[in-house]
Amino acid sequence: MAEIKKEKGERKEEFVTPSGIVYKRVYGPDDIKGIDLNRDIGEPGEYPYTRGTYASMYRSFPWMIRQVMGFGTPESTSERWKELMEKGGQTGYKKDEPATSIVFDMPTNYGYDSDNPIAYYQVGRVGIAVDHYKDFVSLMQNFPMDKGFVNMVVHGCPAIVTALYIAAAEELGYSIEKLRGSSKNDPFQTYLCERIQLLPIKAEIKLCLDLLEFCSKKMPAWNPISVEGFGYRSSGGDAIQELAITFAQAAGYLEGAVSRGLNINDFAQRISFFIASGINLLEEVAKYRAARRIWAKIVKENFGATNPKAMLFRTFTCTTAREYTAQQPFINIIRGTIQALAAVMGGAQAISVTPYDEVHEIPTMEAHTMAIRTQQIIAEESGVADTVDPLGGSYCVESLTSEIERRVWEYMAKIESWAEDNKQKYLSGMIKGVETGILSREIEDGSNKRQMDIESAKKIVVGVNKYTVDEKEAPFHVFRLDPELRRKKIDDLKIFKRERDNNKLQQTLKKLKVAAENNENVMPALIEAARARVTLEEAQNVFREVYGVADFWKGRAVALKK
Amino acid sequence: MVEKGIIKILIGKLGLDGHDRGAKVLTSMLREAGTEVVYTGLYQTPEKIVRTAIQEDVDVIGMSFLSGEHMYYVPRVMKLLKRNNADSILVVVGGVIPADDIPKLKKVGAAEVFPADTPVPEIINFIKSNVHKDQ
Repeated sequence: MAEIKKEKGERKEEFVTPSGIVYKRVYGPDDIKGIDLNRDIGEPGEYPYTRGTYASMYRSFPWMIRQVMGFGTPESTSERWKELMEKGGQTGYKKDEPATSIVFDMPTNYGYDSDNPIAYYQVGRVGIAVDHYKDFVSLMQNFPMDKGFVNMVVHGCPAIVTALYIAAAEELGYSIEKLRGSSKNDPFQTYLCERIQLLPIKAEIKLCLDLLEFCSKKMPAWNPISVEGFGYRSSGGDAIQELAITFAQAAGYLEGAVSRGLNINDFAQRISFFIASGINLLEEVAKYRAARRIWAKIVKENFGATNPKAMLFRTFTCTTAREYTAQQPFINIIRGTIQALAAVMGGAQAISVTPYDEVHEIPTMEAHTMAIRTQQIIAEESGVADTVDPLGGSYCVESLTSEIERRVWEYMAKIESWAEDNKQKYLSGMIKGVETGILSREIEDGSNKRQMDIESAKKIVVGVNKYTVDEKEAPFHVFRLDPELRRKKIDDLKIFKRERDNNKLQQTLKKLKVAAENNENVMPALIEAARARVTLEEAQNVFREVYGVADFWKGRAVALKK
Repeated sequence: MVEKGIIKILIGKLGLDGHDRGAKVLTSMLREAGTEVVYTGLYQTPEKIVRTAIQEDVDVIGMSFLSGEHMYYVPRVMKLLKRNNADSILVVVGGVIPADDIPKLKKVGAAEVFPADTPVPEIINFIKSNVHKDQ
């Protein structure tokens, strides 16, 4: 077919996706000529999984409605969880199996207890405050830990937080091999996007792999890593960078695990993902499809896996608030809807629709309810969940899928080229990318470019540079954290510390230090310390002592002695 | 010593909050607009911000908050500025700020609050029109 000339009088010189792929005027058979139906597209639930992770997807079981939540104390978080369930949210794959995605406050993520002066105003502000294992006992006592799914979106200190969770599970009478859920545990993303850089990157990776190794042996139903790409979109990256860096990270963790003697066919089954869902619907759906194909190829071809279950791209997604606006916030409901549609037509396993008020504060129940209803309407009324991979076969979407895949491999090759260790190309490439600051800069460049595009009106954002209104008053009430919660958490912590056998605790801390110094897997010692009532900060201080702190913290007050 | 006519701005983030995309983009665009920017980076304390502001002889302090601590830190910074006779410095705040808090921040002395996605030219114009220059 001859090159189709642009029609006269089109709205723009060029129509592009946010990641820079040019939208053709119309797609046709020529655009999918290079695609092999069997090799590249295939069947859902079969390699390379382009069309879906499972054969019947949402026809068999729905995606988890797993709103990200958490604030204040374990009790207030537990309350919120119940309220969300009353609206039909926080659902696992099966009926009556509660699921949730928990976020933690800044002090917890930074390895400080709630009573550390550095933490004061931020205790429980943007997530649940967790100081010790009893906090998880309080949180989980009304929810099953062996059914449903608990996704802990923990950035800093994931090994410690998971150890606290395990100690709580034991106290509540669960055997740990039955625990279901995930720990985010992704040091690269934490370093680059959250900018939470506590220990040197190599120490963080070591602890990450300790948790991975421990879980692969003792907790077969737990996903010890949830490789995160979501943050790269928030920080300014586009869909290509999101996937490329996510997969470079993930491949790095696979390399690390394999070098410890773990079997790819076993542990890789429990590698999970956490990506963003954006508003450019067609690109996002294509992104999901490309992601499944890329991951399957990495695990099968790069790592030689033979177990199909090890090749599955299983992902949680949050709709990205990067595309939300503080102006006219209710219109974020529309954005969330389109983004959620992308996630469903893309084939996510669990979805959190970012509530419309997220640009102002952590969400109110009203905003969460709207987010849950969004998912329920898509599931029950729209029909898109009634057939698998509904956009498969579209000339446009297949073309975009292949183009995204091509660009992602290109970007990953760049990261690989930075490698200093031929046996661990992705791991050492990512470490180089972090240490030299190259990756940070590339992501920042994306932020700058987007801002310029908005300022120049090359990119339109409704409410910001088009269809603006003069807003005088806030149209809704925002969530307000009850200051009592912070005081209560600090008081509870004081009582908790008083009721400890200090000798026993010190012994476990010594054991932890020895394990860390001898390069052993720290998880058993961490869990023992958790049982002996260690606090998060006390455990983290052992790591700070043994591994030193990241460059970032040198010269700054790290933890004030109490 | 501030060169005559060039506005000097300090941009910083206080507390345990690593969300610096906005602060960094703003820093970059303020520099493009011909101002001089001192970017202090993350995890600043009120004392550090004020000390740096005075040492660097800035005209403007811009603080970015995305984790809810603006009502804690801004009043403390304002108090320290006053104590050090540096309260002629123009103070602006940005980030994830609930609309209800904007009047409260202004009451303690913030000249303006710019929620996320405020067009940067608006911020630049405000600064240029309101900065107190050396006589």
